[in-house]
Amino acid sequence: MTSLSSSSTATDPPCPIAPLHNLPIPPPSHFAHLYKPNSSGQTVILGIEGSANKCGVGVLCYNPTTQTYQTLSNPRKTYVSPAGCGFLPKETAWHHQAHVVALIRAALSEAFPNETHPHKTQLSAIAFTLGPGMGGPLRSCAMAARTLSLLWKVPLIAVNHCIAHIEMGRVATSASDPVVLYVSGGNTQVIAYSDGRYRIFGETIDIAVGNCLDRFARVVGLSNDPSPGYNIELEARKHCQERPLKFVELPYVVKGMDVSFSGLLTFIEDLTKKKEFVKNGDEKQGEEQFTTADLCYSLQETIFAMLVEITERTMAHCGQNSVLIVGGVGCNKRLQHMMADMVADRGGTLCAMDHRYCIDNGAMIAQAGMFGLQFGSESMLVKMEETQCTQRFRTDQVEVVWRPKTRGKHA
Amino acid sequence: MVMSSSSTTITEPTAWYGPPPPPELTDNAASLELLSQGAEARVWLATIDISGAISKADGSTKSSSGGSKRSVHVGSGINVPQLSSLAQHPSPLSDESSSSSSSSQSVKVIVKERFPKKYRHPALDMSLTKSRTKGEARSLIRCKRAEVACPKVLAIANWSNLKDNDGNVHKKSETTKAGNVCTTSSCLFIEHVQGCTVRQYFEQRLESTATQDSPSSKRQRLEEEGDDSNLLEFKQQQDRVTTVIDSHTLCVAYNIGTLVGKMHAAGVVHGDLTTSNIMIQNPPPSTKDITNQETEERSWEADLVLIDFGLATSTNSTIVTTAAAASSNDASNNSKKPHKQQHSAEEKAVDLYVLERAFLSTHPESEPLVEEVLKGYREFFEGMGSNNDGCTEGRMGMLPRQFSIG
Repeated sequence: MTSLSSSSTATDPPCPIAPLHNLPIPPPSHFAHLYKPNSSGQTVILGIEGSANKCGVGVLCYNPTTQTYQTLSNPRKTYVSPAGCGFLPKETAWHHQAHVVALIRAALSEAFPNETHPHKTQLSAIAFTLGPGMGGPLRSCAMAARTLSLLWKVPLIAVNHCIAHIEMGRVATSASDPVVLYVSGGNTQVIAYSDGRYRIFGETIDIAVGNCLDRFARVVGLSNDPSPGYNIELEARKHCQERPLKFVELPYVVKGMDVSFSGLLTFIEDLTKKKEFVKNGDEKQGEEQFTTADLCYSLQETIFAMLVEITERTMAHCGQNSVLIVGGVGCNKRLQHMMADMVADRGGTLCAMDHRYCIDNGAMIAQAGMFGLQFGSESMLVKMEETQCTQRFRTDQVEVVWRPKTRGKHA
Repeated sequence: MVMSSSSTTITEPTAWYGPPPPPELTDNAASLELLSQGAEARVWLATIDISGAISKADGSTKSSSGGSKRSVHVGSGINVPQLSSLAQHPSPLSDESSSSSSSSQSVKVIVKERFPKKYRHPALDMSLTKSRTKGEARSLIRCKRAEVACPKVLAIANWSNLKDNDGNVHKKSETTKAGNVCTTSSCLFIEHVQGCTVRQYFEQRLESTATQDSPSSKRQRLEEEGDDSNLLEFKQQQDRVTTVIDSHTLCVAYNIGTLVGKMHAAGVVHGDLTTSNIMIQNPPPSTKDITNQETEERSWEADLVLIDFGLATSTNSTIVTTAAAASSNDASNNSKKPHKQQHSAEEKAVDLYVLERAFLSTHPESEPLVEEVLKGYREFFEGMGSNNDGCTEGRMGMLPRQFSIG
């Protein structure tokens, strides 16, 4: 099986629940028919994530005496596809099937090093990703969750992947009500909470921002390791005061609060076929020529400006002044920097970047599952026959029962 | 992005953010009040003293000398003069408003200032700011010509924010050190529209009717049954906000559809249709007494005005002129036509989609209102005797509403 590193996968301190301004947690006795805390009164959830190319398992614990959530372990495995190729559903599913059991073992033994059978004494429930995501990988991890649920006789919690990002972000940064920019390989959404739901104020009307970056990286032959987006970022970082990169004007498509990237991608792909395009910066001779680095720089500047703009529109629309960036593209330093500039101008705050909610992992699934369990969400606490995964599962389909209703606050 | 609000609901921001407004703007206006600071622009309500401006004209032209003193061409053959020349020779588009308020010798105008954004690449920022200001003016003028209700364009100007008094020299050097930062604000001067937004109207309807439906009977029944979980759920249900749907709101929604249809027929796509960007010039009196209100409102019909054309685009062919072009047998025009029509149909469909999303995200459970908007839109085109390029269908079929992959 897989050899997992013995170093700790969860080093963050416990997160208090008070700053979240959630509804008060009902006592577990209120939902005695749904779940039982362990012998010391704590609620422990195992979260399994596998909606894209990352397979992750996390153990999360709620401690009622200190009123905190703590991640006990959070191991993860990433499927890296060869250069020039994206990750395909079938191969990604095989990857997850091969690693999920080892990851669950590792997560449990790291969370409870002194127990021989932690699943019998500690676990209150298992949370898994219902969607959105790629069908094969989703089903592989859901199968693991179903099997364990039957073996260990614990309830299942079906979690929306986007909600998991948001909730982990809120818990980790103690931000009670931020505007959320969710940017990843499959999603581009600007989200704000209103009246019991996370409402999507703006989103892409065609491809996701991460998809746009990944596909451009493939066109210019950048590596997929550690991620194509990161290699684009490295190229764009060649821009400096002494040797500024050329800014090539690209289509800038903002429609209301929505954005579009597909036309931009076609445009920049066409640019690489022009005779003015030179792959390497050293070959550059004339001013009219442009290099891979120039295009990476221009692409980042343009699409991130679009994202920051729709985020700012949502902030203005909702009257909120804190921003949280979640999802894989949120790791990009340039996006963080631009967002920080915008937020500082508005006198707001940008929540710090954190691996717990920027990169897919199991603990965030457990976190959203924890809320669903503690507040007895009927849609999330599913019966076995309702655990069929769905590739299409919108953020605003989930009723957020753990947050107070805002009577038309943003409406 | 509210450009103007009724006096009762103005929430006055304590301070603006971003760079200070251009000195030309502060010098020319007798008073300058920040109405709102949207994501993209600051909206000022400026009082311009006409009599004062004429006598001051020499001084103001001096302060703005340095390349920025030139008029900007907007649309075909329309010259929109700068503010200093507006004071002396009112623009052909503005004569009506200035003559009506000439007795007071001062005009209230809206100044929409697109200020430079620090986060954007300066080249991108400059081109976006300029093209958006120009595009907004062009769309407004086109709408006005087609008699679509919208504010008039008075003037347009590009002014530097950095030409400031000595107090801000320190700040200035900081920004220039930080790199090549764009420092030009584009100012668009437009007519001041009185009234309230459709959004405010819907919310007022909500408040005035909130007392009507009293769900206490259901609650009592649940309490008697002792069903705890149902009671909890019911308490949450009670907090849900629902949009009031009655004959008046439906009528407003229908008129929105007609207005948007008229705009699309004129070849303008708004790009940011929300209930905050449509104003009611004659808001109904917001009395809490419901019986009184009903009698007053019976004959009331909203006088709607579209505002904030910040993301608007003008498509090349209006529906009226495509028919004209076909009859004139222009060969080059005809060859382009299918593509152009397809293009504008998509943009119009996106416009309706944006409006639908704005309705549903700001006004919970307003689906019937959206249906009414689309009905108004459809019937407007049916009344014109021309098809609407399948825009209303396109809105549903083309765009991936339930599409999202993690």
